[in-house]
Amino acid sequence: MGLATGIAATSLSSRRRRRIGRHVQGWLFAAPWILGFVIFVAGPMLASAVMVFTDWDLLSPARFAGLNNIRRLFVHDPLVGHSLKITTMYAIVSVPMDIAAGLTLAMLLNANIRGLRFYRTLYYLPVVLSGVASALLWRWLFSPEFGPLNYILSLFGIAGPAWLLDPEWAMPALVMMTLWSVGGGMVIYLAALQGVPTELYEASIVDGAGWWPRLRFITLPMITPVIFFQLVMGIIRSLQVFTPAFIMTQGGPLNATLFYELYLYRIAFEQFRMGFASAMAWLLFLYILVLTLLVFRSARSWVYYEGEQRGG
Amino acid sequence: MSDRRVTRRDFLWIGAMGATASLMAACGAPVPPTPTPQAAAPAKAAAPSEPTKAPAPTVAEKAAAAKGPVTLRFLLRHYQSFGPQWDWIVSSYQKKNPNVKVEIVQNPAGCELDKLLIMVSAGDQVDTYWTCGDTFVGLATKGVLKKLNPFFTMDKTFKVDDYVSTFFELYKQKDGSIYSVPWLCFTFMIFYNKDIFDKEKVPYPDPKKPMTWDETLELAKKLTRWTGSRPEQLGGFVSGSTAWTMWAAWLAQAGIPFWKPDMSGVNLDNPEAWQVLDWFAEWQWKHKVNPSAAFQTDIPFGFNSGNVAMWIAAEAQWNGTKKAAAGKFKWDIAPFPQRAGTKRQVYGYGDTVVMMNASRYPDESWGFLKEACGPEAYLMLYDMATTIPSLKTHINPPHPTFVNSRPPDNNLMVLEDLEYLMLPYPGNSGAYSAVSRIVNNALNPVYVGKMTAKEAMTQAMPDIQRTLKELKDTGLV
Repeated sequence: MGLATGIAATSLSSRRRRRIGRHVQGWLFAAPWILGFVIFVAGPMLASAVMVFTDWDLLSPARFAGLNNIRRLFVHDPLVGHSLKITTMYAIVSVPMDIAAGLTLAMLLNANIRGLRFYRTLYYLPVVLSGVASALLWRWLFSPEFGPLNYILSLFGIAGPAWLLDPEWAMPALVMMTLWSVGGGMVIYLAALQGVPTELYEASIVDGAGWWPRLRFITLPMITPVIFFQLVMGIIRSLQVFTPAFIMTQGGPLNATLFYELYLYRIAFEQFRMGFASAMAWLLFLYILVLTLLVFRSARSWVYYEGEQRGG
Repeated sequence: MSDRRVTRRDFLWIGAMGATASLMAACGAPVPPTPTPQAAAPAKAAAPSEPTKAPAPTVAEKAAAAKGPVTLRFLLRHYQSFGPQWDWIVSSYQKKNPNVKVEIVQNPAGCELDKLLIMVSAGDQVDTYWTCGDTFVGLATKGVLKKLNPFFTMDKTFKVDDYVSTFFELYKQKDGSIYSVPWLCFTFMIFYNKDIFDKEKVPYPDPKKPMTWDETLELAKKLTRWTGSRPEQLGGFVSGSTAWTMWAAWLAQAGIPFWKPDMSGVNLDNPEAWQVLDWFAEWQWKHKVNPSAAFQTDIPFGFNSGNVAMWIAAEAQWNGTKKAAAGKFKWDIAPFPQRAGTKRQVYGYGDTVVMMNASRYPDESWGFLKEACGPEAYLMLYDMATTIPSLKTHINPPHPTFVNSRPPDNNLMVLEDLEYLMLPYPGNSGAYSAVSRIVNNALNPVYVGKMTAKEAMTQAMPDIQRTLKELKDTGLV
């Protein structure tokens, strides 16, 4: 009995040690990421949250500013509201356009056609180009006198607009430019389309369903998780848009493309107002958070997960 | 030798310890400059060739200098355009100062201020920094840069009077503090393609006498050729928003100063200024002798393409044009146009190297600065067609190296330009670049005839006023 108890106790303690050991190993494996997150993400976020209540120019010690920066955000600086509005408009147009174009392209390239791999590579190529290189290329494409775009329009007798020099056309030009990188989404949609079970299509064909009902009742519902993912990422990405305006328009003409992040950058690195820039960064973070939560909430009504048990 | 096996636990333990040690090292205090292994001579023996007494060096500075070899950290704005010039300066300085190694801190073009600010706030200091008039002002105002006036007084081998005084204005604050010495100095002028003039049988512009604005425009019209909606050859190429200061030069020459008294605003709210800006924009949208401003550097119609007859640009572009035009077309220069009824003025600007206040090696930094802006460096810069002389001894009489650095054949014309030199803003202002960016953005629709200057400036004015106020509040003006 005593021996049995002893063996049992030893075995228990050995099991506990193994379990603890496994926990330690798990934490150690996760440690690089956790440390990276704490040092490079959480730490700076916390610091910027504190900076919201200070005036700091990077060069002299920070001074406590109370709620001045928050007040300035909502009352004294009209460009904050303007840039947020501009950026939201950009997101409203560019995100659905990006999803629609990516999905259409993926469906076209999901067909069994000659040169499929070539086309897929071709459409994906712009994604691997640097943002700055793309922006410079598009600046040339949009050139009023020498750009190929206006040249093509002139062949049809249309006098092309001044694009990036015209306050009315600068934003549409930048939205058009987002189609350039549609290949990134295309690859993801393509993977999703190929994951749709073929027996569903076979059954629908047997039932006499045409192309449109198959798209509407099979394809789209089956890939809604991917559309949802692309929507969330697209909203986040488009609200943080910076490079095209920084390189191509400098926020102009007449602030027509003054995106929020570009204005934030100017406040921080041209005017050295880190406290106010932090307040702007937090406002954007909260704005994106709220929009993302709303999208997540809406997902319950339109995103279909295969095998998911729904209540009722 | 132990044959003990390394278990998985040992491996994890070693890994964790290693990661912890790395993190602790990374989070530690900034590492002091590493002594150069090549330089064995003591600091005292190998001080700059013209030793100076730095103003009130701290005990720490003295101790650092006494330790031996020194590494000076120099922040380069960008390597693309002037890399070889800086390589030459660094090499020349190191030869004369074998105990000093200059470490060039590289930087992508256009991001130098961001990098510098972050380095300064993180305590990761550089000793010297290549800057230009508009970025250094804020740093000087905030006490990041070292005033050079005490060095000027104490270093008997250096004379401020050796330089063209106007260029010092770029690096001077209202209180008389000077933060650098002229390094890269340039004025604006007309570059012209001699082949196009020959082809069109039009005489070259007179290098002694500037054309009037109207004469320049008429000449540009004469030299422009369009086929349908496509230009084959453009007569004029007035730098616009890519050379962000040009409109200020036109305005200044028309007798309209940029700032209102006490910098209470800008003189862009009156019909005289609007008239000049409209005239300037009409080159593009009305007379079609010049392409849109925003696309002038990256289109196939730059001056270096050989399809543009005239271009307003600065000496800093001589080198690029020399290389691009070699074997392709002949070119030369003519004076900046003058508005009829106004006095002749030539717009000038420059870049330089400054010393950081926190530098632990002020003597060596001053030595490096003197090397960069000294007579030998100037000869190299003439040879590379990069700058005009700012040293009086190189102007009168002109130094043979400058005289012989051709094309342009009319290069001596710029020495006369120096008599009419003006700078873009009175007594450096950190607000200039921020405000001029707003004006540039507002002018884009004017360039394409979408708006008048009056409409654009009226819309931009609240933005300008607010920016000016914010900058004043932050103490940058």
